[in-house]
Parts: sequence; structure tokens; C-alpha cells
Amino acid sequence: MLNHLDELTRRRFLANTAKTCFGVTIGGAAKDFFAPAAIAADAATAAKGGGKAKSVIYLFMSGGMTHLDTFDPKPEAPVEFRGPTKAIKTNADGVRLGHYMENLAAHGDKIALVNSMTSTQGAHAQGRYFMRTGYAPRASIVHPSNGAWISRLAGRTNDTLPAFVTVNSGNGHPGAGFFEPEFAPLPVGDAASGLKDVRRLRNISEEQFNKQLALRQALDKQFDSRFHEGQKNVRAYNQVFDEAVKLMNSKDLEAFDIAKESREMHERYGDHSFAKGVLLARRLVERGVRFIDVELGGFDWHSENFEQAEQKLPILDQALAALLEDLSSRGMLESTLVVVATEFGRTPKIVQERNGRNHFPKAFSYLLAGGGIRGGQVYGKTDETGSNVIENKVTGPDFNATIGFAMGIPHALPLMSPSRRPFKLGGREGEPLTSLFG
Amino acid sequence: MKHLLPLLLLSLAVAPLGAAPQSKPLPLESILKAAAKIDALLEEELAAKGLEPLPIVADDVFVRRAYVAIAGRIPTAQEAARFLENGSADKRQRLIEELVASPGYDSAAFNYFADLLRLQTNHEQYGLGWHVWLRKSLNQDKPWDRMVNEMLSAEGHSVNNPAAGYYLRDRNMLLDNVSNTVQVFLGHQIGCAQCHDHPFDKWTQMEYYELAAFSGGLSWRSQESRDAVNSVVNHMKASHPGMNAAAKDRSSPKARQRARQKQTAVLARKASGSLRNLFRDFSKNEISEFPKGVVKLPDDYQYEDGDPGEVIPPATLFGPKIGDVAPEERRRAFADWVTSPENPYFTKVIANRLWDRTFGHGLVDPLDDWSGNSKTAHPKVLEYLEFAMKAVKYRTRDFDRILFHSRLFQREVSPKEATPGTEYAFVGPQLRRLKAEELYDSLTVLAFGNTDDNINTTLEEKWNEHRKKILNILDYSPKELIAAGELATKAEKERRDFQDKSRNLRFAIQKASKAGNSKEVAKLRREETALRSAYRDRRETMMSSVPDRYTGRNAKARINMRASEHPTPFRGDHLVRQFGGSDRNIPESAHTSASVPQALTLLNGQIANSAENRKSKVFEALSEITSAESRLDYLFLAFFASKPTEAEKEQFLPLASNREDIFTLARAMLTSNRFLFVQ
Repeated sequence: MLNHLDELTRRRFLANTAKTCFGVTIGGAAKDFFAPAAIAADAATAAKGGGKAKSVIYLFMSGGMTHLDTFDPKPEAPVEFRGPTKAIKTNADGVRLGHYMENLAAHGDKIALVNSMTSTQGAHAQGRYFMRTGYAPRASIVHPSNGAWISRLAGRTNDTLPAFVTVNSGNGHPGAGFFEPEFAPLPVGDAASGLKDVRRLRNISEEQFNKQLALRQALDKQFDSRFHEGQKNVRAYNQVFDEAVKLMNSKDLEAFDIAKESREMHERYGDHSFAKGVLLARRLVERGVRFIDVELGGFDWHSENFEQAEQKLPILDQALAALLEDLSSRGMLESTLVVVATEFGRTPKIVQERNGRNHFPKAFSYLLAGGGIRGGQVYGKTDETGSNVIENKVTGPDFNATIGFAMGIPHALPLMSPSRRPFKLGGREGEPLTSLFG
Repeated sequence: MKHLLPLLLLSLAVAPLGAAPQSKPLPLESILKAAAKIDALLEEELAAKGLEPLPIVADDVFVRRAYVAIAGRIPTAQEAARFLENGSADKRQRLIEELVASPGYDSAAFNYFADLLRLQTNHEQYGLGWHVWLRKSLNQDKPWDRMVNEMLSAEGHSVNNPAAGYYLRDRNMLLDNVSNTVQVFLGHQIGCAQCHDHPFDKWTQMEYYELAAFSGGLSWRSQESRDAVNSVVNHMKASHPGMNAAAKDRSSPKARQRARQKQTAVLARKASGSLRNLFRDFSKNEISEFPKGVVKLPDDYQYEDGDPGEVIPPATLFGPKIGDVAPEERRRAFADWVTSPENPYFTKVIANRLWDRTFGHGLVDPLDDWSGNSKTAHPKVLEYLEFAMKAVKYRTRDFDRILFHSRLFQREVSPKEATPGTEYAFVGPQLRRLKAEELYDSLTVLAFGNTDDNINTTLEEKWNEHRKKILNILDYSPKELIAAGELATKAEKERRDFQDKSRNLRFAIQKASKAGNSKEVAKLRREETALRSAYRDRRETMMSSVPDRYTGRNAKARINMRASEHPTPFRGDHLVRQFGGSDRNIPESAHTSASVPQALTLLNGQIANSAENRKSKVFEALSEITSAESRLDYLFLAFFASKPTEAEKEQFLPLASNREDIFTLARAMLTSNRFLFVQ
């Protein structure tokens, strides 16, 4: 029946099938054999402790996470700033957390807090975009997100799984930006249900399925010859169908099935869908996925800041603490960089009428752990009310450069956009925080 | 504008664009003239750049494009065939007119504006009212300037004024609301100036606060529920023993007054406590205007032109200045300024947005970041569009008609994409993927045929039901209020009890099923069903007078209805969202980007089986048609609105005589770019 198909199309299709069916794919059990390679970091990076991370778990607190009630508590500040939040000690000297983060307190020795983040983007969409891409949003271009940079520069370690996965990210995620579609993330909506529709329908034989794939190309032959080259979205669709078939044939598909984890493990991470996302991220790291961006929404606490903190922060606290413990007990912490990010902080002075905090890009906090980061440290400082950064300002681009440094990836390597302008992982002038390492 | 005026006046004289009554569409003649004018200007501007417009498309490309762009879905195989076989010279014109007047157009327009306005049907209770209001406003051709004005000046409870949804959407986030207003209606991004002077644009933080000051009196508090509580307090006072005791306090007049105040406060607490459940949701659905409200500079204001905490008087950003305005008139003045034809951006911005919606790229791009030196390849067309929008009196349906009747709408798409955010010379429209709702609706077409007439009337019914309950409450006497408050409290308690019980049952079921005790599982499941139905009945009686917390949730659409008939946004895992349907969080968040899960769904999801579903139109047709050739024709018409070429016939005809193969072909069509994109 395929006689009529264009010979070239057919060969391309068969080549793909061969690669996906018989190519080198390695099961989760053979972890050591298959574990992702660290990038060969240059000597200078390695000497400073960089280049140890093979994967990144990037946890994004969407809405603007309060710094005063999490990583930069100010128990000595007047009550109109600190509110009812208390600071608690961790197992590392000098590392303090808001009292909502009890579980994390047992891992102070694994984390580095960066309390001197600063930005100029005070609106949600723009702020998220800036933190993920290192560039302010421009209408004429979409910049690649940090995950796409890592995906492109670090490359795949697993033939059949994508290098970049997002979990629960909203419509505004910049994804691959101007990079080609192959660097786009695989989006997972709900971690608990994992990847849907990855198996052939029961009533369709493998033969018919393969015929269907060939027919798709045959039907589109003219369309593609007209549009494939000049239209990126057409290329993207051809790409995602190839990728989808690869995934279907992947031996590592079960990575997306968190039901394979024990009940005890589920309980450790927590019940919330975010916790499931974090657990999924760990499974994906085990199979060589480079970058997993897991989002937790609902941090925009203009009113009832402290009530919301009581409800929301324990979700992060439990999942993050469980992740650090889990990675560490599996010996994966050194090769996995864990990041807690957000678009901006909240106004230190509480808005009286609503007991809330507004947007505050001037000062906020991030957290880093694993991937060569020296635990038990606090980098940068805000003043006594958390209103101004008074030591070691860090920007979004600096932070993305730091992720690059941890991975041994050149943060300042310029790549050209289709409009022939150079862009970098570290943004215009981001510098890695090398002193966090080693 | 000057050089255009004679021409414009002429066209006005021939067919008075503005004179038509608002309920009637403009005569086709005027529309065609305006469309021809656009083409003339456009082609003049192309010629000046040495560019040739692309050729006019063939009928099959046109019919698919027209259905998708105007009615928001692909044509059925019959609709496509009817058009292709029609030999009359004006059939394209007629199809456009037919589709613009069809419910399909209303459905598609609703999806578009709901995305722009970030409408969420299930946001508390007002969301449903806002949804119904928007849909009706569009169906009835309410002019855009009036719709916007109604939203921006809205006040009161949403049951009385559902346009208040626009502000209720952003409760306690006035500054964000102001940014969105300027971005959506006036095409400027001032969001950055919320925290500091705009880095690239000229806006200062002071200007931002001046603009926000128009809404300084806006409050997300319910005056009506306060009044109701007060009436209850007064009612209780009359008979309350503490009040009598206070009145009898003989120590001194001052002490008497103190005692009375204390008692009043106690009663107020008691009253608001007993009414809490009745009014909790009620209060959230109202905005009130407080003349004394002001906007102050933030505590960290860093520039020399003002001090932190300083009260800022309102002032406009551009266009006509607004002089002294009475405090209670501020928001009305703001709404009038935004929607005035004198506003330098309001008209252009909506005209350009609708141009982009039809042709896939703005005349000015980006759509929401205009500045003094915004570039366009077609300044004259832009100028004319602004005029045309005013001439059609902001009736967007008539404006769209002008665009659809242009030659540009019939030209081939350019093989090379225009770079977003840059100027593009319109030699033809842009190729685009079917939008998420268009895809969903097209799948509905394949399964059920034309479903444009299936309107989800329960949305409006539920809203009216809710309205009635709320309006009743507003009429209640204090006594009735107290009774309703008790009922609401009781209902809330029962709801919690029910939740606890069903949670416990679920746990028990889990435990039993893990232990392999299937008998116990069956027993517990029966208990669960009984519990649920008992609660449902009970709730129906109780809630007959108490407003429901979830007005829209039960207004589900049926499966043979289009996307616009569903409460939205769709859940994150729904097909519409998977293909980039708006999450309604930021303006225009819908997208058409590819993802691997989309491919997986088209390959392996239940929709891949839709042609084989015995109830589907495609299956029905394929099993009825007896010749292989007609079957092949049918599939090409159903998916691509075209007939197979000779070469395609030769290539695919063998598949059409084998049952298994033809379904394989149908599945392949579903995944093809020809299906997913619209040329």
C-alpha cells in the first residue's frame, strides 16, 4: 500500500522507526551505566567547584514568593514588617528560615540562601519571563528559557526522553523561545497522571500505526514543501510527531509514572500536586533529563499574607525537604542542582487594611542546593527590614549564569537569534556566583 | 488624515456608514466600499515598496479559511462540497455574509474577547454573570466602546451590573488592573512603572499612580451587605436586654453612651457572625465607590517629584486632559477618557487587534506596545481602519465584515512567516495553526456535523436563578435576614459534615480495596452513593433560597456543543488547554505552539478513534457511501475542505476500498499539518 509514497519520505520514516525501535535506550535499572554525563567543564570552572551538576530541578514559586516569611526572616524588625512570622534555626549556623519551613530546617547544611536577589520587573508575567530567560520581555522576540539553554548546550543524555520537562507551567512559559522546536520542553500538566496517551490504541495494530505515520507525511508532502522551511510552527509540528513516536518506544517511559513509587515515598513528599511534580522530577533526573521546571502557583498574597503562608509554605517545605533527603540518600545530590525561584518578593511593610504584601522586585530570596553548592551558607544581605539589598546584589541573569556554572556550561557563549543578534544564557551581563561552590 | 478626507466624505455620502440603527447590520454596499478602499490603499503601499500582492486563493482554500476565520470551525464535508459546486460569481461574498450572521461567528468572537479580558466563568459567582453579559453583549452587537465603558465605570453588585466582573476579576489588585486596562484597551505596557520609572518607555512611576488615582475610590467591599447587617443590628437593638440595661445605666450620661456603644458593637459582631455564611460570597461580588478613597505613592517611592505616602490626584497619560473631577465621578471620567473617540489609542488599538485576528499579524505589531514611533508598513491602511472603526460605531461585527470582504482576505498566505513584533508588508495573510477552540470545534464538526445552534442555555438560566436569590435577599426584612442567615449557616455545616463523611468513606474504600475485600468495597460504595444522593436532595431544598457558592459549575455544556458553550477556562488537562487555549490569567494568553503531548493525543488519544466511533458523522458517511472514490472524496472534504487531486487520487484510492486502511487514512489526516493549519 505504501508503493505510492515518495521514496525519500519513506526512507526518512523508516530511518526514524529504526532509531526508535532498535536504538540505544537504557532502562532505569542500569542507572550507573546510563547516568548523565557531566559536561566536560573547563579547568578554571572545575577548579572553582563548578561543573558538577548533571541535572537541574528548578522549582518556581509563581506569583511572587515573600522573602520575609521564607528565606530572609526579620524577627528583629518592627511588627508592621515581620508580622506574626518567627525565625527558626536550622542545623547550620547562621542559616535561618521563616517558621513555616520546619522540615527544611533539618537540611540547613545542604542549602545556600541567596538573600540579595533584585530585579526591575514588578509585574508577574514580565517578572517570570525575566527570571527564566535573563532578558526583559520584548515584543519582537521570545528568548529561550534557562531550561532550553541547558537543553541546547548540555544536550541529551537519553535518546528517547526529552532534555527539558516542565510540570504545571502556565501558558506564559517562554519554553524554547527563538531556539528551534527540538529544544522546547515537554510539558506535563498534572504529575500524578503523568504522560497521557503514550500507548498505541488497542484497536490499532503496529502495522497500521506505522502506515498512518507514513501517510501523514504523504498527505503533507505539498504542504511541507511549501511551508516547512519558512514556517517555524510547521517545523515544530513535524518535530513533535517524531518526538512523540520516539517517546512511545522509549524504555524509560515508566519514569513518568509516579505510581511506581512506594506509598511511603509519596507520603514523604506530600499530597499536593506540586509534591507529585517534585517526585516526578527526581525520577526524571534518574533517567538523565537535564532540566525539570516544576511550578507551584498562588503566591500573590496581596491580602491575608500570613494565613496564606500557613497554608502554602508547608507544601513547599515538605516537598523540598523530602527531595533533598531523597537525593542525598541516593547519592544524587552532588550531581543535581536544586533551585527555588520566584519572580519577585513582597513589600516588607505589611499593607494594614488587608494584612497583605504587594509586589516587591527590589529585594527577594532564592535557594540553591546540591550540584556542587556548599551547604549551610547565606549569600548577600538585606537591611534590617528586608527592604534594600545591602550586600552582593544578584540579578536574574547572574542566577542563570550560576546554573550554567554548576553544569559546566559557558554562560557567556553567545548564540544568534534568527534576527542575528547575540544572546547568552547569562543574559547581557550575568556573572555566576562562584563563591557558592566548592 | 487630511488627504483621505475627500474620499471618506464621498463614501459617507454614498452610503451613510454611521446612520444605520444600531440593531441592523450595515448594508453590504457600504461594507464593500470600505473593503475596496483598504485594498486600494494596501496595494498602493505595496507597490511603493516594489512588492506584488500574492495571488487569490482557489475555492477550496477559501472555503476552509472563511469557515475557520469567521465561524471558528472547519466546514462540514457537505458545506464544503456545496460551496465548491456552486457556480455563481458572488458565492464568496455570500458565504462571508452568511457566516458573519451565523451563531458560529458569535461563538468565535466570544472566545476571542474572553481571552482578551481574562474572563473566568467560575470565579466566585460574578464570573458567570460576567460571562453571560459578555456573550449577550457580543451577540447583540453592543458597540465595543460601550462595552468597555460599562466595564470600566461599573459599580454595585454583579447581579445588578454584571460588567463589574472586570474589576471583581482583580480584587485588591488595583494596580495590576490598571496595567491590564491600559495594555488591553490602549495598547501600552505601563506595568513596569508600577515599581519604578519605565526603563525603555517614557512612563514614570508618578504617571502610573496618577492614572491609578482615578480608581482611588474603588473598593472591593460590599456596601449592601453592610447596610443589611446594620438593619439587623437595629432590629436586634429594639428587643435586646443588654440594650435596655444600657439605657437604664444611671451612673452618668457618658457611661450610658459608652454602655450603649459597647452593646451595639456586641450586637454588630453577633449580627455579622450570624449573617456571615449568607453574605460571605455575596460581599465578594460587589464593588463600591468611596468618594473619600485615595491612591498614595508607595512607601519606597524614590523620585524627587513626590514623597512616599503622598496622596496623588488623578491625571491622564495622553490625549485629552481631564480637569478637576468630583471624587465620586473619577471612575466615570476615566472610563470616558479611555473610550473616547478622541483618545489617541483606543480606536486604533481595537482596529489593529481585529486586523491581527483576521490576518495573523498586526498592522502595528506588537498589538499592546504602541509608542509614538510604532512602525507599520501600512500607515494609510491603519489610518483608514481607525476611521472605519468610528464609522461603524465600534460595532466589531461590521468592522470584521469589512476585513473579510477585502481582497487581502482572499490572497494566498505567505510561505515565510512574519517575525512577531516586526512590521510586515501584507502581500497576503499569515499561515496559522487552528486556535485551540477552533480545533476543538472542528473535531466537534467531524463527530456531530454543524453544531453552531447548540447553545448552552443553562449558563444564563443558572445566572438568573442566582440573581433572583440575591435580589430576594436584598429585599428581606431584618427578620427574614436572620432566618436566611441561620439557614445558610446550617447549610454550610451540612456541607462540611457531608465532606467529612465522604472523605472517611473514600479512605475506607481505599483501605478495603487494598486489603482485597471486594465485598466491603461494594458495600461502602453503595453507602457513598446513598450519602451523595441524600445530600443532593437535602441541598436542593435548603439552597432554594440561599445563594449557591458555585453558580457556574453545574452549567456544564453537552458533548455536542462548541468550546464557547463551556464554563471557562478549561482545566489544564483539557484538550483545549493542551492545544494552547487561554488560561485566562493574563490578557491574550492563548497560543498555538506545538508540544509533544499534543502529538500524543492526536496519535493515541480517544479522538484518534473518532472516525471509527460509530456515532460519528465521519463513520456514518463512510459506511453509507458505496464507492471507494466517493469515500476518498468525502474524507478530503471533511478534513481539508477540498477534493483530492488526480495525483492524490492515484496515491490514496487503494486505501479507500479497505475498511482498516480508510480509518488509518482518516487518522493520518487528523494528525496532518494540512488539517492543523489554516492557509
